[in-house]
Amino acid sequence: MKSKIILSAYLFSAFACSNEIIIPIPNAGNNISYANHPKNSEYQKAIDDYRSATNSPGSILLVYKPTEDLWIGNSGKANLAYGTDIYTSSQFRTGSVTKMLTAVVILKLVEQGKFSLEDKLADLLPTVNGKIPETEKITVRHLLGHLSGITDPPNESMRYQTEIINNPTSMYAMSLSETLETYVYGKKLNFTPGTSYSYSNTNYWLLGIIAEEISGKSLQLLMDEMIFTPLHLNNTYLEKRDDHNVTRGYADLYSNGILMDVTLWDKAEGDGEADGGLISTAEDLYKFMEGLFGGELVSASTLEEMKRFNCQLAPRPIANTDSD
Amino acid sequence: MKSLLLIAFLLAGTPIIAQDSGSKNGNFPLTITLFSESVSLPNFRNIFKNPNLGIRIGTEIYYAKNESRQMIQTINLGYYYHKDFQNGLYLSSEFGYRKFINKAFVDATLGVGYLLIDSALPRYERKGNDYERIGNTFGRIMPTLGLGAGYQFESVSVFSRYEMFGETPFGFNGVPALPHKALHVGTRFNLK
Repeated sequence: MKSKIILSAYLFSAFACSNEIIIPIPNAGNNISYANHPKNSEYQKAIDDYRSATNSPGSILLVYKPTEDLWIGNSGKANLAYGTDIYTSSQFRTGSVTKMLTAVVILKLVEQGKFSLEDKLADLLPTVNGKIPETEKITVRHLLGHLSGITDPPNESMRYQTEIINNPTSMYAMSLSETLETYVYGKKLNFTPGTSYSYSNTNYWLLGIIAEEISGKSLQLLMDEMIFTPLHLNNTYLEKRDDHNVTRGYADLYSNGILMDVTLWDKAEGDGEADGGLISTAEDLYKFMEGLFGGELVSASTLEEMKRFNCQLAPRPIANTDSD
Repeated sequence: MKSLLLIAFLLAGTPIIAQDSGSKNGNFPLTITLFSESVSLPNFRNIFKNPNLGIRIGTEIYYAKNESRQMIQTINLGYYYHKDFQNGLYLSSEFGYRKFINKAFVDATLGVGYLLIDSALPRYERKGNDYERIGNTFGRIMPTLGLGAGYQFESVSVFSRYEMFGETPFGFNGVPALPHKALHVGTRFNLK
């Protein structure tokens, strides 16, 4: 009985030891006010209402109309641990907006004659032959438009999702080739390439590798040279960095209205990657869109190609089926 | 609170229906296991890679037992440390069946517990338009399923056990329970 009591006491004392993650202290931010904008009150109400309706801890809204001056507004917090306000200039993880910049890099390389939109994955990335089915049918165009049928671990694989929760540090450190080896290689295609549509982050992982292998440069450097520097995106980057000033990520993990800080998971899933790793600000994203649609990044014909919807087929619903 | 009452009912209301003499492990043996825990679907992947360690102590009572089989009810107190996710402290009870083949045995258990979680992820609750920090401790129901195998020496048995357990309610992306797996190695013996 004495042993049981001692062991029980040990269990309770161990439980009392804190396991909490350490959140680095952010620097003081720099808010740029647009309070003099004629529609400031209207837009500010819109973002406040949005934040309230979505339970978002912090939101940024940028409004640009040709007939108005630019407006950027902020509401709420960027970092709940320290009560840091979110600012109009706050950096945040842009998620899949990153794919637009990766696409621009690919299209710039096409313009430079490095390869064409109809070139095959089998030729551009021979290392994946035999590991991903039908690479001889998958084109660059298929990858850009989510027409390849390649599996999408972040949305289809329960194993991928639970491993992000289980050990985000290990997932963060995992190389892209290890990620492909673990979660993509050997999986069947969801459909014959070019016959349907399903969103897959893997398409953009592969595009990132193609861009790096063909150019001999890192994707970060390609984005620097092709996008960030020409457009003066001074608060935007792709590579993994010390990010203590970046807006933190939160999720209602237990669907009970309680938010938990899941920044480690966000970092593990996206940082540094061609599908979702971009860190930026609202203003830099605005500059990017202006530059892209203003013809500063790609030619008019390339832009038309980029805007053209390439598949009239209905999206194929993909079940969350990977349970291995 | 409902879950606590359920556990209390399970623990307090368990009768010993029948006991045969000469059975293996006397009444109320002490069971101690060390285990490696992961958030995972049922599989054996990475079970020894960056293990999250835990310890479980418990005892068991018998609905029926003889030289070849036992119908058991376990009562357990366990703890695990999962880096960057949570500490878990639980009280659980399982119903199980154990089959002996000479000195070797296999068993299967099905149970439920109350899992007290100390989250490593800071938690915030909405108050008006702001969020306020709240405590990291909260409770969840813990359904369990276990399969084990071991060997009985004179008065001591050693065994290994693969366990799946869940945290429920969960609800993120519509998933009702967050799955965990644990691989236990342990021993069961009488204190006398």
